[in-house]
Amino acid sequence: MIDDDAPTPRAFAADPDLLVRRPEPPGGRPDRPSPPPDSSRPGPESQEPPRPERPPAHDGGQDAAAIHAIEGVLGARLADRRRAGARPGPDDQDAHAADQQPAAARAAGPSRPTGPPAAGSSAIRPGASQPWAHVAGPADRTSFFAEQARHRRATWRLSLATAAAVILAGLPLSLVVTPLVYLAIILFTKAMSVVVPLSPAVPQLFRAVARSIGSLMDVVEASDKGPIPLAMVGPAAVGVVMLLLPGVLIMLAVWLLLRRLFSGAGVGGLVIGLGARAPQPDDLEERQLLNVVEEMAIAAGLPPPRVMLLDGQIANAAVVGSCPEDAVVVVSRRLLDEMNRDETQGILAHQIASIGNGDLGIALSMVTVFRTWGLVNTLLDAPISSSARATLWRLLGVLRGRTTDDAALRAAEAARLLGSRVSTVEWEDVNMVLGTDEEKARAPGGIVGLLLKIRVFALFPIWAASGLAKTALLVLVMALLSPMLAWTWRTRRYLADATAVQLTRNPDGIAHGLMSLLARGGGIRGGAWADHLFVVGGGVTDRARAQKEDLEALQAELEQESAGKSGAEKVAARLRAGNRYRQRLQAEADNTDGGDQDQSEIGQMGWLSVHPTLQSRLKRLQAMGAHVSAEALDDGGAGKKMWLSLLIFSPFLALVVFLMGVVVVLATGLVIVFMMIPMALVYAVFEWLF
Amino acid sequence: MLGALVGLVGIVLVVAVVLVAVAVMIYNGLVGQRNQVQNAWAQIDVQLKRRHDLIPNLVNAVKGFMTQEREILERVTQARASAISAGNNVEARADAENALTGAVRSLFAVAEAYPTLRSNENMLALQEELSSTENRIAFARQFYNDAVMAYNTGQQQFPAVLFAANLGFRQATLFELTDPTERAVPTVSF
Repeated sequence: MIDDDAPTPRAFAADPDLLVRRPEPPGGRPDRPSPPPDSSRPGPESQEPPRPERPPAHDGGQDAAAIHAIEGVLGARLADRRRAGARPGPDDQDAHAADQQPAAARAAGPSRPTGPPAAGSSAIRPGASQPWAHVAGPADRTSFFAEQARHRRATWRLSLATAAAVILAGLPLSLVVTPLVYLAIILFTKAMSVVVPLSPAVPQLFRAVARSIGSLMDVVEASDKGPIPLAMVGPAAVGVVMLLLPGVLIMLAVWLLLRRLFSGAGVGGLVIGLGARAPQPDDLEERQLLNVVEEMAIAAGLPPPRVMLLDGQIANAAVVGSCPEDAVVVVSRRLLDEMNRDETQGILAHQIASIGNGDLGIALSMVTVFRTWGLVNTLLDAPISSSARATLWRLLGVLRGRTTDDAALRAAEAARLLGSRVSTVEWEDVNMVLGTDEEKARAPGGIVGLLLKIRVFALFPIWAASGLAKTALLVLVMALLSPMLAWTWRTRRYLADATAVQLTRNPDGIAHGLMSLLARGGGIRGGAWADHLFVVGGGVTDRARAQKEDLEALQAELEQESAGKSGAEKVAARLRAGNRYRQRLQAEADNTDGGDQDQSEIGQMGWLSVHPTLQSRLKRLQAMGAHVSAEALDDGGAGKKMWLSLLIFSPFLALVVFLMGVVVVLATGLVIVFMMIPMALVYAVFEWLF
Repeated sequence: MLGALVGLVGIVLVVAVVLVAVAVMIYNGLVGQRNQVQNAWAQIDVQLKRRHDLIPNLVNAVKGFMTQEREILERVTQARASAISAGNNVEARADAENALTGAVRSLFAVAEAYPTLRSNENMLALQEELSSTENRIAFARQFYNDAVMAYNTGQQQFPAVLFAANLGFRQATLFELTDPTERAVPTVSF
């Protein structure tokens, strides 16, 4: 008989397995085990209530056992019927995959929630008079505050260096832009002078500028003949500034404009492109995720970001957006399945720490730099390249339709196009005039063809110079800017890790979360553009282990499908299961909306990964008090190999660097030479107008 | 002579402006931190009120579900017990088995009609909500303590320490336990 002493909610709360005896899946797919009994992990786990091995014995024991048996069978039957009922199409399988596993197996998935955040290894020991005193441990300890301060200082230094690198890389391009700017200014002033009478000071100013640029040329000539007299250096320096400044200022203005444009466009389109969906509050795992995000937002003092979920076999998490109010956290469902609550909380603490530290704004700035160069190149190419004109048209489309629904998608596409045009050299019109016979055959005939030829030859200095400037830009970006960007971004990752430890006060959770991402993490398809915003980069997966797990999953699925059948039915069931699995993999492979960029927008044209290695992150977490096994820290000697190869190849590298420098200097010199003609033309226009 | 004097006055003026600017920046920073501390304190109350409003309703809802299920399960086990106790008496046994079949069928019907009516899922959800509520309160207190630390540090650092007290800033107190029994490890027994 069931009496009031039957398994009470308290007992159920202590051990959810009490309610349901998990039906043994026929295929023997192992249930997700609780966190491995690792003796080096004290702390939160030890405070959990002990799990009773059997239902508590009392008078109603037999009936309680009956209830359990019935519920167990019930669970299996219901799951079967749900699976049978939800068989309409293969594309639905993925959506129901989460529901189809017997709910019992999922009951073990979300681990027992932990109590209030543990205080880490230096837990308050009752009786300790100075709980903050230094505790000797397996690794040298620092506090997360010290780590944060250290990384913030490093960020400052690196940001300055990056800004310098950006300006340096943009100089060749600004050389090309300057004459056009001067022309625009002259024309504008002349137009204004028609309406408003100009003081004679204005032409004087223009003449002074021209004179200083001319003195620069004199210095160049004089340097051939011998040492430069000191008196000429001053005006020459002013000349240099006058040559570079307008271009730099214009590019700065474009940068600000683009930043404004793309931050206002929002992230909706980008997230839709990834295929993300809203979380279902009915699902316990996803509700847990929402709770965890809220908790971390409270700990960080930020408004809680929106949460979106990605289905699929890759585990990863990212935060996209341009400011804390606009942020969206994208988490893959696989990550929720793999990790327990502590680890999920650690990973999400990292993301929210990222938001709080302003990484979104930094990423936007970095990405806008590339887009600025892309835009300037597109504008310079527009007279001679039809693809550049198409890109500009798309950009105008984004500006026009800013309030329509797919504005975000169009903005994302425009951004991608701009980002990809930083160093492309596609001169369709030039090819039609000066290219191979096959390309010349494509040129239009008649008056249009004639105009095309005139345009190409007239603009020859400009497109030649811009091509050289792009080359110099590419070399400078690859050699100088990319490493700076990667280094800066890595420092921000370390800072986010340290801040995450501050938020959770539980370095173990973050460390174990990162370690579990070693196995199942990877690049989300279609998310390469935002690779720098993910927790781990695309190259982190242990592919061998992942494949083995994939095969095991397939095997288990086949067993499940064909259980209880025989003969032809069994074969048919297995074929169906195999087909479904293949379609699922295909769907993941096909999910490449926006996947035409192989690398993140920050990491493009770079050879240094924007993500720090997991080993170095784990090492720093260990210094902050995490318990990390030695094998996780072992990177197979990759670090040593890198230093060794650097040492061996250093003369070769020095040569490469020298050659790059030579290329840059030559290109810049040729740019100046080519731009002399337009400059002279501009001066002639000026003299004619004034 | 006059030029030197003007120059000196100019330098003094510039230095004074810089000092005033620094002082203003420090003052504004302290004001921001003080408001952050007050906000953090209020946020703790927000979470406490949420717990106060939410938990009783959640527990009542789960209790309601469990009662309904318990009634159905009671019927089933009663029928099963009478089936067993019917023993070898064929007629009684047949009747009892029929009753049991009927009860089980109705159990399946109810469970299928309300697939979300599962005690363990409700219990897990309740467990999750309870622990999340407590976590939120704890994290709110943690954020308050961090804000207090930043505020106190800002007041005590040089040069703010020279004039912070005069401008009306006071040291804030950290959240600490007043009841020493709350520091002890709780005992759990069934």
